[in-house]
Amino acid sequence: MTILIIHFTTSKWVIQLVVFRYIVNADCNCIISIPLNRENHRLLFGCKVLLRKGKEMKRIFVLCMCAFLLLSSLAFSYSNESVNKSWQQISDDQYKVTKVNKKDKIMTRMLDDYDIAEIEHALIDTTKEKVSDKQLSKIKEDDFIFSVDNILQDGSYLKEDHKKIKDKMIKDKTKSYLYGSDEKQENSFTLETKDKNKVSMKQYKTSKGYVVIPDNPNDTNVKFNFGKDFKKTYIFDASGIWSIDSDSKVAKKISKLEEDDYKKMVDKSIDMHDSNYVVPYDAVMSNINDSKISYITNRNNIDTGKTDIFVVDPITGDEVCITEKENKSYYPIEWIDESHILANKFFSDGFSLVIIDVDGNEYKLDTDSNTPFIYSISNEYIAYADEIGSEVIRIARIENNSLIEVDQVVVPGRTRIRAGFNGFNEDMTKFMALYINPKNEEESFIYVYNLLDKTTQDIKNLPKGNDFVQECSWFEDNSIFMILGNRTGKTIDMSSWLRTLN
Amino acid sequence: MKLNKKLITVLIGILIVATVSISFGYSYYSEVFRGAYDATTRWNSPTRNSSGYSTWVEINSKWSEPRTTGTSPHVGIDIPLVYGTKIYAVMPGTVTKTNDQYNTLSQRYGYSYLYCHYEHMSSIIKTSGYAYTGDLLGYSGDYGVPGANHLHWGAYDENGLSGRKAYRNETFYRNASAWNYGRNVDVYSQCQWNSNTAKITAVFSAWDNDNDEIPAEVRIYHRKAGTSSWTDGGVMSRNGFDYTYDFSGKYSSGTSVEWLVRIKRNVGVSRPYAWAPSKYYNPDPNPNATSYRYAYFTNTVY
Repeated sequence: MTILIIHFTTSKWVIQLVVFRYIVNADCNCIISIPLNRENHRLLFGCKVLLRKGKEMKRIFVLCMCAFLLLSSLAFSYSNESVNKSWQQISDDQYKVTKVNKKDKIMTRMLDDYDIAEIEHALIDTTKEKVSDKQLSKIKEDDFIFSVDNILQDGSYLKEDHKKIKDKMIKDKTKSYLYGSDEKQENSFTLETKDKNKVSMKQYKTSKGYVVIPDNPNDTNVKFNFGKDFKKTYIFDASGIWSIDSDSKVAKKISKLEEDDYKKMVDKSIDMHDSNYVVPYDAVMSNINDSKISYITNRNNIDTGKTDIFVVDPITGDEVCITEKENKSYYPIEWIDESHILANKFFSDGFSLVIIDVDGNEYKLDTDSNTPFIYSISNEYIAYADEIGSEVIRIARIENNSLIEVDQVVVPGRTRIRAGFNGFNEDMTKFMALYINPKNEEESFIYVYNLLDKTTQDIKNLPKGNDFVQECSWFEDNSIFMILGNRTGKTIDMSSWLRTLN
Repeated sequence: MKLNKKLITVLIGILIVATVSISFGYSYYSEVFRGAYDATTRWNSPTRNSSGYSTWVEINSKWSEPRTTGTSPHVGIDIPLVYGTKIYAVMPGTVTKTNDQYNTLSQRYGYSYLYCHYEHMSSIIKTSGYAYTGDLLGYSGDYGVPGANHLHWGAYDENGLSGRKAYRNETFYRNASAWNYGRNVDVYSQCQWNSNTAKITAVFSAWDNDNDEIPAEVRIYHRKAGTSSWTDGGVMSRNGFDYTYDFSGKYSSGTSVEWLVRIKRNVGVSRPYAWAPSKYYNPDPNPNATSYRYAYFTNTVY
């Protein structure tokens, strides 16, 4: 819907044309005010003179109307353009973004429901006769009769080599690429962590050097994490931690745990708990210059399961446990500088936020609740809530091992928490949160808070009326990458979008 | 009069105790397994890394795996996790905290009879409402199993623990290459019938959770449809983790046959057998030794 208002303010010797455009299902209210210049003041003055003359009245009126029509059409096209420009569809598919640096992003395509349908269709063996309806209904009606896995619900058979076909199709559909790059700037290689664990990796050439990530980072059989500025990639599993240099692709084993020692721990776990609950290495992360890495493990406390944080020198492999003083479990959130880790410390009735330095000194951060949840962390700033999902998000600075609250954001609904989400943009001018529509909990939208001028933007009017935000991340300092969902009956169509902020 | 009151109190007490034991324990031939929910519904991993990518953690107890404690065979999947690991929804659906001895969070898929149970979390963050795949649900822990920090999860047909039956899980993970397209989550997978040959993939989780423990024996039983006695077909031919049995020449063309497979674990478990298809808690190793009806696959020999 569009409303035009022409406002003549002759007393101020200006003609002000106000075009107010209100578009249903768009979150943009655009007001364009075009004051006429000195020339036009003269024109208006002239109009007044002419109006007095009476005879020329019609000519002036026609002139004004023409000017108005011309200006309004210009204003409309500008307004329309700005709305379209704010949304840019990246793809009909869903992608995950790994932001390597301010300029470079690696996009990984995710499998969608229609991909699965396409794959399943390609696996059907059309040369084989289908299983009879009589046989199928017998299987369906009797809870003790099972169909084999290569017969589909309609009785058709899968091809005998269906696993190979599926494997290839999934690999083709989940390829990653460097966003905005025309030429092939990737280099695949395989890394062996132990005899049977081969990891397919890819090296990408970005504007700031090479980065290495798993071939399909969303479906790889080792855990991984990136070092600062993506100069290193760490991969880890029960057999150890490896550091891969992004430039040379050379992998170096950092951890020192011998297989025999690991076996003894496993034996102990099986004796005590009937299963192998030993996690020798998890949550590997590096400090801000990759001079130290940390990991967690339960291997020293098989009986109680207490988790400890270890700090390792990646060159020598020498390590030290920094949480052995207390009989509590810890989980690291992030390194905040070269020598301090922000972590959760768990109690029977909740957890607290603590800072632990590389010497094992611990500093408790004072929060109002015993369930403080960190949404985002960027350098010395954190965004947290007293409880997960809370509408009130506190922005605080960590200074001298204590928290100083600097701002608060009140979001229009309870927040949804997604893995890997960071609400702060890179230049720390904005914070965003993904919130649940209070009127329909299956819908989520984005709320952006400007940390400088305290203005807000509620991004709930999406390209299609029934769209909702499934996933979001900062793409640039002023644009958000989103996976939008659109529900049609039982199915949800996902697509990838960029939203430029006003 | 007083005696009658005492008697009624005692009887009520016995009834309560019996109900509780039936609710939380399994007797022999308790039916604890179901078949596949369907082969098209996809699930994701319950854990992610700090970049938001799914992490496919090693599994230390597979669905239908014989073991010495807890339900045997196992009616779910276990992954060892350090205390405080974030747990994410594996599918979209409405969550409910069931308030039981394992701090279970149950998530229902639409309005279907498919529920994912997440057990032993130290803290549940999303206790109700709708969660999409990848939404944070809580933190891992050892609730109800002190010291054994892990997540037990799996597909069930009920909201609560009592009377629930576990669906096969590998069907939900048939597109996850990191879990060998579902092979890592269930003891048996990829049950097939091609050119009169029955084929099944069978492997246990192994001491180091590497999913390479070869069964001590994989034996097939079969019969002509409509008969009652199972014939021991002997051990199946092995190729890697795949086991086959050729029915050619054993039945005349056009015969509808029924078959089931017994998979024996290679470690010290008092009842080391898993059956494919799985049906009961701690079943007898001989399907002819009992009047209980075992589940089976059915195909036609040509």
